[in-house]
Amino acid sequence: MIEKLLENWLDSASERSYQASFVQMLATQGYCVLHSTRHCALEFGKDVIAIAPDGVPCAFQLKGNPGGRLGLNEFRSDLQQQLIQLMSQPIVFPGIPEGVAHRSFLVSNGYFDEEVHRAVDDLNRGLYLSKLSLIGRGQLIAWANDIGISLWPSEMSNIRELLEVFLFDGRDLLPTKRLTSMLDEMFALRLSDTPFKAAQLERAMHSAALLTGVATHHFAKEENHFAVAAAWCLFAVSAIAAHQRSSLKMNAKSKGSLLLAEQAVKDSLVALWNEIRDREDLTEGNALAEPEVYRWRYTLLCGLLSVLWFFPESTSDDKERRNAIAEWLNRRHEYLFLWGEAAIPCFLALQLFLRSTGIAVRADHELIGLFQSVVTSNQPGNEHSLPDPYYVFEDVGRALHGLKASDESAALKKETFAGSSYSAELLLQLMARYDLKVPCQEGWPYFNRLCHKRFIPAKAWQYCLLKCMDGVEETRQYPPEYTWEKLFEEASIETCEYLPEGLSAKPHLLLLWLIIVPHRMTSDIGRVLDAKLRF
Amino acid sequence: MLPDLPKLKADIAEVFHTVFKNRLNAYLGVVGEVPRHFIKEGGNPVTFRPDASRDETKLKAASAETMFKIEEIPHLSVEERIARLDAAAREMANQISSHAFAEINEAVNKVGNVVDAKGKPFTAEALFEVLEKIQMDFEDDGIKHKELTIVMPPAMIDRVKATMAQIHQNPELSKRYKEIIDKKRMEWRDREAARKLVG
Repeated sequence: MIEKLLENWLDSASERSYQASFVQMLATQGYCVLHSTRHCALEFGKDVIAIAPDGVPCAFQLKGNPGGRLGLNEFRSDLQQQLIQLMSQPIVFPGIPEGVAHRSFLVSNGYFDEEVHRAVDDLNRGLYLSKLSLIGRGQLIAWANDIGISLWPSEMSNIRELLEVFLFDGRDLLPTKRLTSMLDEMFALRLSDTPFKAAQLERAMHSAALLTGVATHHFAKEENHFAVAAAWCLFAVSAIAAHQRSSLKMNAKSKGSLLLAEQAVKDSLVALWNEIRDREDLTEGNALAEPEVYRWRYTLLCGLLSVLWFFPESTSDDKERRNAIAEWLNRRHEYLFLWGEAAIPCFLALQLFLRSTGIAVRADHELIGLFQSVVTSNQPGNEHSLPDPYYVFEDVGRALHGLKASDESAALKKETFAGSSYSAELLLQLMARYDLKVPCQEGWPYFNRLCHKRFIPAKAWQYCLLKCMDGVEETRQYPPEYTWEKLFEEASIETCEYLPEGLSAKPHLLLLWLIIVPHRMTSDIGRVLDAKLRF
Repeated sequence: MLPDLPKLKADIAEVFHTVFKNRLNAYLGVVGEVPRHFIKEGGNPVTFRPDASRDETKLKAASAETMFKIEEIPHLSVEERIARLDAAAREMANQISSHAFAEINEAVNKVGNVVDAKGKPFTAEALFEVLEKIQMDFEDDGIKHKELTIVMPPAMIDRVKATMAQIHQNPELSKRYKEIIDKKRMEWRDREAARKLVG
């Protein structure tokens, strides 16, 4: 059945939706992928640039022929000229040695007609710098089998999850629970699993990467950039967790796979930014119900663009884009919406961005406002308190508007959030870090009336799980009288024992992870992010 | 695309659709009370009368539009959206009612079942003339006739009420009214008695 699903994916994928999985397959084959992006395509249709295991540079042009055949007419009219340039122009790219002849590839998820093979033979008899090879549907399926789809979810419940994610509405948010349930099985991240050894982990890494690409193919087809970014972020975090659990360093292939996942996250966020930049409005979908959702989306976009701004800069395009994003984020945001504590990571990302760009006065003002909103909303007895960060906007919206309840929104109605908070401590400590003593003193009585909650996993790798039963939910009650010095001292700690090393080294990814899984946000994590990201 | 929540929004939109349908029914008034039948298959439905005549019902689309400007979307309150849906429901109800009455007019004109008061005020005589023309059904006990509905412009309501009161208060008019109803009852009995499979 999984083989059929794989064929179905390949037969319906566009070049955009199979590129991320294709580069993962290349990495598995031992290629070192240097360039794979859709937002700044290189000249002459070089969609992917990689160095083959034998050290020869390779240029790949991807073509989407879902379920079809590439015929001679299409080959001659649409592709031949580009391919001649691909073959005759050397690859000029950092990391590619000069004067070394490269290999050229035309990749399609469909079949090539016999005449196309003959036309390629003719081209290869010409005096071009490189030879052209074809990679078609059969080769891609063989590679996929090579990667080990036998490692894909085998438990019935997870096979169901796989089908459900594969068939999910590509315009909706990513069903994170279902995807992580599969990734947990593949990476042996369930409590009952035995941690993987190095070779198992490497195979799991490539296999899970392919699964992530295949499972999220409808989202890629709909150009649902956030869902795609979220999927690759979950994959990356799961991979980091698995290595942490096995106490293993990533080998070169796994590192390559992780970097490609990060690149896929960045690509999706860049595509999201391009869409925001080019659109005149930020509305989407059904207009009648849009006002209820608009401010949630606006807040989320502010968070996501802040995350993208923090992604490491590698090209001049990146620099230009960061400047443009900074301009967008620096404007006045009248639609920010604190709909629950799960929105706090978006505010945190924006806060860190503002501070990093030197807009400290505005950042101070917004941080104080945010802190006051949280502590006053959640004062004991308040009927309009903020739902805790385990509840996503869909749950909150359903409960708020009295709609058909999901399991979570039904639970939300039964819980009392007043009197406690998961984010107030982080916000107070950030204020202390920025030396905002007076607002801290003024807010202290409100802060002090609250219980401050957080979940601490038993082991660091468990921090990367969406749900973990091995750990402690801590509730902290502060004494009524506290000293500024003590608060400042606590706020100055910039380490976190339960944060996996691999995730600590990638704060931009951690910030995105918090937006996707907001209940993993604690004051410890917030301080680490502030230390690592704030310039 | 930008992040969206299609399922949540579909459920929210469903609430607005329900409001719209309720308003539409309210504006349809008596037309909204007409028994409904959904056409599951085929095109225009056809009715074959006892006299073997064939009536084809021509379907007519009724629609109303409401516009939301993109720039106003973030600020649109529930009340504002309901107000717009209300206007759309009113417009659609007007279309449906107009069409329904036009169809009725056409049908009654075709068979000559029309009483034209020629601009004169509504009187007991006019009402008797109408009652003479229509077919009336009775409850199973044969005593009470089934409810009749009179559709009229709002300005005529007082006049019709006064006429009805006059019929009940004036013995002469009351007698004539009773005679008409008795005649209608007999016609109903004859109709019902004729329903038999013979031979």
